[in-house]
Amino acid sequence: MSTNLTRLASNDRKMSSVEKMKKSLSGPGGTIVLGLAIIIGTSALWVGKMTFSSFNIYLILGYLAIPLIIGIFASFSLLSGVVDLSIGAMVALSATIFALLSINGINEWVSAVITILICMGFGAINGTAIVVFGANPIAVTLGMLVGLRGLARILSRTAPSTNTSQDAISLMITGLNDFTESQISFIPVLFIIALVLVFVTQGIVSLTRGGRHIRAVGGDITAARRAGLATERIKFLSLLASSFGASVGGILYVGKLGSAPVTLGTGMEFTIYAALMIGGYSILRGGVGNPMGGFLGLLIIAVFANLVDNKGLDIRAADIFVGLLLLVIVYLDIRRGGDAFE
Amino acid sequence: MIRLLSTGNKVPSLRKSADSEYLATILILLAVWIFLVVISVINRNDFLSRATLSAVTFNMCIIGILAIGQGFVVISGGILDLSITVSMLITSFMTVVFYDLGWNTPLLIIVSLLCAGVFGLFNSILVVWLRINPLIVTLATGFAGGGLLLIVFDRGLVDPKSSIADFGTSYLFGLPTAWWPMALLTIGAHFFFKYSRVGRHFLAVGGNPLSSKAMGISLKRTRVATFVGSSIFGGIAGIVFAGFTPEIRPNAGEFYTLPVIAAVVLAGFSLAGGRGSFLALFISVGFLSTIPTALVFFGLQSIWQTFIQGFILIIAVSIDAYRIVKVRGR
Repeated sequence: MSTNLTRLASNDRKMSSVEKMKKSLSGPGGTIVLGLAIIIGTSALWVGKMTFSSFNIYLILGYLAIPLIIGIFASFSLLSGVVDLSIGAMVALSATIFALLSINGINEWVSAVITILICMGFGAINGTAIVVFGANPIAVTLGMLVGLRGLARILSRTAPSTNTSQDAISLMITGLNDFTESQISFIPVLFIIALVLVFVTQGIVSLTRGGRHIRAVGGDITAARRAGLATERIKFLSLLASSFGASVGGILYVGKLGSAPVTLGTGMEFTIYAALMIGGYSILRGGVGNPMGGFLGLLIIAVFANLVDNKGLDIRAADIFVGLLLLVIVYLDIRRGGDAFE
Repeated sequence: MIRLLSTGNKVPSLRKSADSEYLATILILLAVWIFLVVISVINRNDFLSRATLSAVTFNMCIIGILAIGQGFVVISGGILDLSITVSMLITSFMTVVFYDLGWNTPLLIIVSLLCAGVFGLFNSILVVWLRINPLIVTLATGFAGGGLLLIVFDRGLVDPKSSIADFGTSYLFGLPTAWWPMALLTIGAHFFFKYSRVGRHFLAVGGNPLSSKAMGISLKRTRVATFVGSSIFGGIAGIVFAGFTPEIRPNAGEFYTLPVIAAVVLAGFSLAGGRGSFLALFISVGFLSTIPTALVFFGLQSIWQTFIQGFILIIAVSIDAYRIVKVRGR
């Protein structure tokens, strides 16, 4: 088993960058780029020149930035072979806790740290149930999804009525709002940060020993355990990472929206995992996929959402599109020899 | 010879041990349920009333029927049907549409159940012929279907004078009439999976698909039957739902998806397939349906319900997994 692992590792090293590029174009990468080209082309034909206006690009990238940050951290758990469905609810909980602490006059930085720690505490509960007790990840994190949505709603009701309107705590934190809205020319700063994060994560996953360990745990946990990896710890840490990403996302949303609605992030787990699956990850087995693919997958969804928005269509059309696109992409993956059902 | 005879006697005990395993689950769930009722009564002695009974049974009738459909998918190895509430709402809306067209009741019930069946057929085509994992299929069709429902139907108004509304609001033997289909279906499912040949085929496929195939059971046919079946159960729940809901909203499914999965997992169904008892499912549905009413009597708002249900699910699956790990070892 361990020889298998080293061969896998040396394969990674030996392949030249040109070979890698060729391989990625014929593989899932090619499909994604093609998909992206089709969707941008459709938008250009249907909406017109406005698609490429700097304001429109600003809108798309602004829409994309926070989900991208959340998705990059969530991708660690997919890579290690567990799926964390609770990220959307975690975003709502984080936003609510952060807003509650802030309106009670606690310094923003302190509230942010407390919020992140609380959310990571719930991530640790996920990790304990899945890793220590060996419970089914989907059942556990689905329970966490509903539990945290309930908790966010309960906490939101405790806010003074002067600060709430329609199930949302409203507050404007000037510094944070300036940060989330700031832009360099027409590129949002938040997007640049997210993109840097994508490249850093890509480097970690494909080049470092730690990244290879995560992929090994997701790819074949028995082999990884026999090779002497601390498989339990790696899984636990990757679940903590996904809760960390979601809590940071929640705080950023408070800055951007100027409020913390309890419905924040509803269905976000679906959109993000669909994007990651379009980008080559799998929610059924770990060890596959890379952050760049995840970014392109999310970009496809963002461009489509923008198209729907520009044409004034029902926003729910985006749900239908994402659902169908997911089926097509997974089917293409199966045709290429991905894991078929039975 | 004596030894042979005694081992011969041990063969049926395999089935017996499975039964006693389910019996333990049933007794534990029953104990927890009774405990919940007892502490609620100690807290407020007016808990045992007609109003409570009818609130709990109305909760049970939807969650129960959906849980039978979900349990059917889980036990036969289809993992989960995350789109079951979409089948439910399709049927609810179609009954309203057909009623407004002036169709008679039996016809509109059959045709709207067929609509749910067609949705299930679509799921099973994706699973069987495109070989996409059912979890991804139903996640996608559930999401896309939910979006489609919101676009097509704004809301459905059930005519209070229709026979479906009569059925949903009347009482039979002291319990809501809407409760009885759930009870009958539970008993039916129990006997079907325990004693009928076809039911045992589903169990076999859930337990070990490859050896079932080697035995000559068609996996494709089983999968199609599983997903069409779960959608039909969703459809039956949809008709009952239309019975007592004056105004149907397209997002009504959100409140049912999790309790249904929680009920199935609590009842000891293995998500890997092949293991589960529909009698235990009945008890776990009863327990979960009592929680909201009990919370109200404890003076907690109904928003606590989802929070508590979520964490009960996490604790239940952890205990269940821990038990299996202890038995098998790592």
